[in-house]
Amino acid sequence: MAQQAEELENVLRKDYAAGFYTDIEADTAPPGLSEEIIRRISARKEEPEWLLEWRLRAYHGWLKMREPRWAALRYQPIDYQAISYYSAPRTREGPSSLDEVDPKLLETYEKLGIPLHEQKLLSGVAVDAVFDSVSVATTFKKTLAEAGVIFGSFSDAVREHPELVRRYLGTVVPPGDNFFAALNSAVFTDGSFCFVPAGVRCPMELSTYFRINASNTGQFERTLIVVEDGGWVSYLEGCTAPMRDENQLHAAVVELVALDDAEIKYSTVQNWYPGDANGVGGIYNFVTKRGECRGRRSRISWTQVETGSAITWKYPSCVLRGAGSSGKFYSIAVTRNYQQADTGTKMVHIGPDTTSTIISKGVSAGHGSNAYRGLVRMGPRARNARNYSCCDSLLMNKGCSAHTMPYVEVQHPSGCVEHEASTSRIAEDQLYYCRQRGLSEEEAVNLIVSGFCKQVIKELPMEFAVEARKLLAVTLEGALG
Amino acid sequence: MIEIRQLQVAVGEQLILRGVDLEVGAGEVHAVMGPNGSGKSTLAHVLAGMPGYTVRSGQAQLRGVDLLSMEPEERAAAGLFLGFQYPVEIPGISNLQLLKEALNALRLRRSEKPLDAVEFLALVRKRGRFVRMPEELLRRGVNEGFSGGEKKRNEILQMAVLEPRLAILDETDSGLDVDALRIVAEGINALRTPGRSFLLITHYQRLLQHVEPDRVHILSNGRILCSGGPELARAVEEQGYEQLEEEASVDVGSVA
Amino acid sequence: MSAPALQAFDRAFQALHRRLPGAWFRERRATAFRYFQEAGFPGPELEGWRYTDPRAWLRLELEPAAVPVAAPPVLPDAPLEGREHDVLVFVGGHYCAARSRVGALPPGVRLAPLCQVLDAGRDEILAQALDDLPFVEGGADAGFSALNTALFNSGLFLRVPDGVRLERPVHVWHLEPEAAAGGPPRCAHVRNLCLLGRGAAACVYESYSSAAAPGSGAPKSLVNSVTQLRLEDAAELRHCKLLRCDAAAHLSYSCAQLGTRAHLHSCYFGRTEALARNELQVRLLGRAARAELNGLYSAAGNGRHACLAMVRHLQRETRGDAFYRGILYGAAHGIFHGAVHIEEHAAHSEATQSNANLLIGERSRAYTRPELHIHADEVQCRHGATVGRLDDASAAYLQSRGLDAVRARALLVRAFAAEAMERFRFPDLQDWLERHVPGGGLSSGALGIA
Repeated sequence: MAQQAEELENVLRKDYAAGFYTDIEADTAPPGLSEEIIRRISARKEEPEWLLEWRLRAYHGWLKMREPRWAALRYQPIDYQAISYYSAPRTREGPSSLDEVDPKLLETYEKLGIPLHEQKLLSGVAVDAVFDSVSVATTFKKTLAEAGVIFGSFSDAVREHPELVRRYLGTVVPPGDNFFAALNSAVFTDGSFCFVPAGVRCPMELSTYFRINASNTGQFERTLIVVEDGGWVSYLEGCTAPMRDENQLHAAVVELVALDDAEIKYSTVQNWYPGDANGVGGIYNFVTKRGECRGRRSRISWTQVETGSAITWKYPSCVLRGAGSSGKFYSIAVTRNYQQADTGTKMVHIGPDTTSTIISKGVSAGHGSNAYRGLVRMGPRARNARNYSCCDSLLMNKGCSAHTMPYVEVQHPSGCVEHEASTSRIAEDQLYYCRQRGLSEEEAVNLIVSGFCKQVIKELPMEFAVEARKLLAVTLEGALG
Repeated sequence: MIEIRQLQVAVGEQLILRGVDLEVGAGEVHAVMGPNGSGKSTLAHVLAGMPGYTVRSGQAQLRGVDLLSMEPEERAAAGLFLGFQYPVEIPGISNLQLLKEALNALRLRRSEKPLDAVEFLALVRKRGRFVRMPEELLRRGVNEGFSGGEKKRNEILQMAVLEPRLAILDETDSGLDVDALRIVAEGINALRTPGRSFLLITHYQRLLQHVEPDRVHILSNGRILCSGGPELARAVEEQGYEQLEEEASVDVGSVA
Repeated sequence: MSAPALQAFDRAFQALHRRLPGAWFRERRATAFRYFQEAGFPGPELEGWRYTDPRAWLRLELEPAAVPVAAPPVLPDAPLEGREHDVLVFVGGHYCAARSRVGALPPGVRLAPLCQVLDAGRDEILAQALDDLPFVEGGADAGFSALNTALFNSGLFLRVPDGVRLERPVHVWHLEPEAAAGGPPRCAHVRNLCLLGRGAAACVYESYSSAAAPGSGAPKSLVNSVTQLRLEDAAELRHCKLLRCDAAAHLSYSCAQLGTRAHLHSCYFGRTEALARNELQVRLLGRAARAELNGLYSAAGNGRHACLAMVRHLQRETRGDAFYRGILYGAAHGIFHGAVHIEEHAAHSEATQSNANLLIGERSRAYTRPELHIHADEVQCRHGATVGRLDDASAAYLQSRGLDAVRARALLVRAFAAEAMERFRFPDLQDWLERHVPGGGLSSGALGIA
């Protein structure tokens, strides 16, 4: 994984060398959204009737909704009828080994630093590589299956474990929840599904890679992770996308369910094409991520390191329903050039004796703008709920900005909230001290930013932490102009 | 080791150093003393490349290489170390972490192999034992919550690990109690080698009782007023700067 | 806003506006009223009004107090009792000369009820000052301040010329009388204006009390106050606002602007069982200007108490410190909304914001939103917000030292309140605060604690 990360990093270092797209036969539906398109998507995937119904209900609900707009973001309006909702590379019927996978696809993975040859398989990470709208290769299925863990593409899960999918799909993020969730529920094409049965500690860290390929293809991934009593899983998500001129839409939905004494760690290291130095191009990243601590003493943590992305709008949240459950949110968001980030979290305390922790670090450089928007709500039955939040901003120069907008609503007298935030800058004298000790300005900035983000980086699985640090370094190259 | 010729330095519009000539040979310890406002810190800062100072004229050469045209980290790589009068705090980065990065950066520039964590810790323990910094302190943020004495000892520890050719210590003795002063002095003495020179910037001669200098220079009004051996420091102690300044001007006058 | 309510205001405006002070000001009043008709009252769809929906508290028809009402025979519990000061008393929004008292003033100082100043003739400075409100710029939530401009009768007018420092504090006291039996709920609009010239200094107390006793049901009256504070370069204003309003709904909007090196020390103390919303907007326009905003707000019963403290840094080296404490009893809601905006040219500025809420009532709630918006890089900002309840361990400790449960808890409440009160620094007010601050009736002296 580390070597993988290194290769990925080299790719990114060359001025977003992932600026290419695979010239492969793509089966693309005409742009536009209608009931017809949805039926076509569902038919092509051979989905059961209940799922088609579910999609259609979501679609009709979406038609009645209004797109939300937030004060802190500026973006061009999205034409939903101009997007192609389905793009699958034409391959033969299901490869039984890697030899059978379309060589051009494998080449794509190589370029992205996701080599799927045997040597990498032994490094111990299962990779569910999602190429556009269809999962191509899922490795380690057997090893995981032995442990009882189900991990694979969402489409496969619908085929092989329909009762599990049906039981949990949409129970955390119902289609009517918000505009983008409704859209996703109607047109999602694939994603990851993971089920960890009671008492099982998933033997390896699971990960997935996304890729947005054909022009004007929205990416609508649906991920569902369920961990039963006493189970444990750590899930990594990392993204990369090719250089484009038009903005691309990414509206995923991630649902996590943790039952009694279960734990889910969900980590994201994300480097979207950020728009060029003048802010042209880039990705719209509207994601609904929510975890429900359904069981007693269950635990869910979201850890994310985000750089790039023209418009980021996501609020990984935790619903703390089970007594004694806990939710955590650790985040680093870096913006430069004209990037905008509006991110944060919602911690909703419903059951008794719940706790939540929020650590958010924003680094703004160039003309970047970072907004943190957080909600901590303790409901009328949330006895003895506790929250600690810490939101810090680091501003690297004139022209960038930071916004912190926490909302705290305590509706039970025993609720206890502690929120603090500060802004700071990299002080001239701190930089000079490091340089006098022999570090270049670049190295000094990286060291100080790393120190600033330390609390979050240490929550990441180790190799991800290495990749995150490198990503920060690459992102901030030349930022102190 | 270092040759300074006719150095004139300004801060904004104000000219602080008005033509300083100074030479420190290899293995020598020189003290630069002077009253407040004489330009002592300016001299230290401008040699180390701190921003905010304009060199109006003059030059400085470190082992034959032009110092003033180099970036701060290049000067460090060339072997220059500045012990700060007010070491800054950098929370979030531990002392050990900064020192390891700095040492490895230096080693890389010299085409040496960087040290891993285990090797580095061993080195720190070996070199820094006379400074007696508890490791627990070193794991804290850089100078975070350190007392004045602890900050100065930390500077000496860094010096011991980085092994500079020229160590400029800016008022290292200020604010130290008796015990801390002794530890700092021991540290400096332990690091005196034929290949290393020291420039001690100091107001009082306290430190010089423990670290015997080879030469003492009195800086006044941006110029070296006079130079001498260790006895000059004692003269300062007894007579004060004012008197020395008067005597010097009388001498100049009588020469004219 | 319901049609009958709007119509009632319409009728009132038509009936009243020719009789309001300042004939030359009529045009501006009409403009303001037109704005109000279009914008209506703000509601929870607006960020700043999310938790304090005034519409729930407004009766269908509120009669603006058209006629002066007789002053109550005894002025209840006067702040600054026994201290030397100048006082202007207003009852139901009308000036009450009988109870007011202004001593000799230094030359150039004008301290008078606003109605008299308006009637004295057109004054450009006054007009410009009165115009300087967000609704003029088209702010969406400025319905109440627009209505205030349209309908205000009077309030404090204080002008201190350059270099003059007022020795005596000024107290402006607004009393809401008991509503006439069977009469409609009333609405009083009050406007206060304080203009301090370069290097001037003054101390102003602004207090609001209601003669009506607290009871169930909707409040008997609404007070809509707007206070404008202008500090020129190097001016200093110590400003203290006191609110005891158990039966009246009180909405107030205060705005202050500070010139170079000016200093505003503004404190707020309020208690309500009805609705109190106290919004303070400060603009630091001059370099090195400094504002300290302190507040202690408490609510009981079904009360809603909101404090908004917004500080905008527009110049270098400015400093803003906001420190608010809320104590909530019964089923009351406490709301704090703080915002610090540091604009691009405000390098080297500092801002702190601190809000803590104590939930005592079993059904009490706290909502807090401290916000930071930073557009400059060389700044220092910190904010903190907490919500919690009385610490059982501390209460147990006090009880073990001989205090009964009630006194122990009262002492802890007082200790919490003291964090805010310590920052008030108005010695003339000490006694009065002792009597009114929660946990009161137990001065530290009475408990033998120094």
